[in-house]
Amino acid sequence: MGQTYVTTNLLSMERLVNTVQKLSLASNIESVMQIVRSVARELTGADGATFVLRDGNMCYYADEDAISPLWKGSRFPMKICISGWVMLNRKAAVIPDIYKDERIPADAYRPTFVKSLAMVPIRTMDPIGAIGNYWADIHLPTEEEVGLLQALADITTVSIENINIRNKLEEKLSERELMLSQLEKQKEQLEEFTHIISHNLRAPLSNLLLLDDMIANSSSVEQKLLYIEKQKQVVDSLHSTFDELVDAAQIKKDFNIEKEYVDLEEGLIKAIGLLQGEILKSNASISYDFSLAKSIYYPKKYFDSILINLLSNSIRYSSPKRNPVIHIKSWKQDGWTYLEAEDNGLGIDLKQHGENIFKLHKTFHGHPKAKGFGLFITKTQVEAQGGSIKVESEVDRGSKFIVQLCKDK
Amino acid sequence: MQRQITMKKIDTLYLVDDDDIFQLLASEVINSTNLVNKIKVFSNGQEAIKFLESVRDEPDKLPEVIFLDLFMPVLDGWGFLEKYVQLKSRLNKKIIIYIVSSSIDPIDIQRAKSISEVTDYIIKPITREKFLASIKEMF
Repeated sequence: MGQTYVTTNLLSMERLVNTVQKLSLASNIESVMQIVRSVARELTGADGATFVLRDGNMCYYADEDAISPLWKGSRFPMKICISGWVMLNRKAAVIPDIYKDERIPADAYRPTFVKSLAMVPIRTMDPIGAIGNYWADIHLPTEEEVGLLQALADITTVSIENINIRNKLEEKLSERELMLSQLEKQKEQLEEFTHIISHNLRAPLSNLLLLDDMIANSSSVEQKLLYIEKQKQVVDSLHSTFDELVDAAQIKKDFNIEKEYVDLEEGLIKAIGLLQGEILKSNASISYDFSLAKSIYYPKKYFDSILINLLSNSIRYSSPKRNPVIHIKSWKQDGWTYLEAEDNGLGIDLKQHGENIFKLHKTFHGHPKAKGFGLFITKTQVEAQGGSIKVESEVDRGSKFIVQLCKDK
Repeated sequence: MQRQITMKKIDTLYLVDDDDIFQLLASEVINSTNLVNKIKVFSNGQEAIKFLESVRDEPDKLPEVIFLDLFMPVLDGWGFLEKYVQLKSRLNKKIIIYIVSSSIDPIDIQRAKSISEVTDYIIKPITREKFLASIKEMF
């Protein structure tokens, strides 16, 4: 007999240690329950085991492993349920014959195989649940069996608390990450705003101030008139800058702009039609491949504007040494639809201009028609739809603009 | 008048700025002080660097002072300064560089002042008073 006891004990210990290992890897309460309910049965050789969680004033039979169904998924008031008694009294219950114990609501047990049971609290100090073992015959669980069961419950406590801490940490971390990325975005917008104030509004304003000073200090009427004429010029350019900024602000505000299914080929043909004059004059050849992504759900107005801006840029900044060749294509990747416009034009020195390429009124080639508005507004439109735009370029080889348009729903 | 006599005259000043209205107004302001003999205007950093290189052995064509804008097409003020640092030792004259910009962004001002080739940062508009004050400091 002594020999058998030692063997059982060793085997059970080994099982418990294995369980500790398995539980340490469990990342959610479901997998904890799954591990515990089957070990609970094996440890004591019971015919069934349940995993009960406290849910306010109810006992929730969250999981079970038994020869025939018990109460999985049911909730019982703590006061009339043996797992409730265990949790309220913070101690184990051992019942060799359930029909002779007044703590047991016999009616609930009649449809089941259960004749005897042992139940232990999870986290004895302040129970959060209970583990039950059930036998189909009259059985007096030994002190050792109850002890093993309680050991299992204690291990379970530790792993559930670990999971709770881990979940809380992860929640906090992802909150932090979200906050950080929002802050980063706000910082970028603020920088962009400062840049616009500094460079696009203050420059003409300082000219106006200087002109004002010069008008006041000039003694010749003729000179004064000349300065006033200049002032008008500055006011006009300030006015058009304001209009551009209002356009951009409108795009940023327009969260609910109407979207529709836009056929990329149709959109391109329309854009080519609008730019026909420039295309013919420049001798540009344009090819496209939309076979990998034929249409997008997008504000049509923005898509048209993006295409026209990219195309006219490629034509305007083409190399005088060769006819412009422009290729437009689309594809899908990680649920996003991408649009790419590649040309063989002048290219941009990204080392020098990289950080400025999408800024308002930045131009790079000294082209007389360049206003530095197209890429600024394109970026604003793309970002308002949650996408992004980037550029790859090599001086005198060409440029490639890659637009991340929209994510599949 | 006493002041003008004691003040040393500048022979050549380069104005590097893409804003044509500013070019015109700044030239008028500077001319009105009678402190500068010649003003040479460049519309971006690239033009100015190219010219500096071409006259690097002719002190009478090199400027005493450069007024440099920051935000210009092709080669901006920062780009000009980078190239200037490389060119400096081969120039046959000591040149004083002022940044003259409309930017009031502290990041720009800080960055400009951290470059040893830059003597000071003048915020536009460059009025007669501001010009005289900086010239006074120069000598």
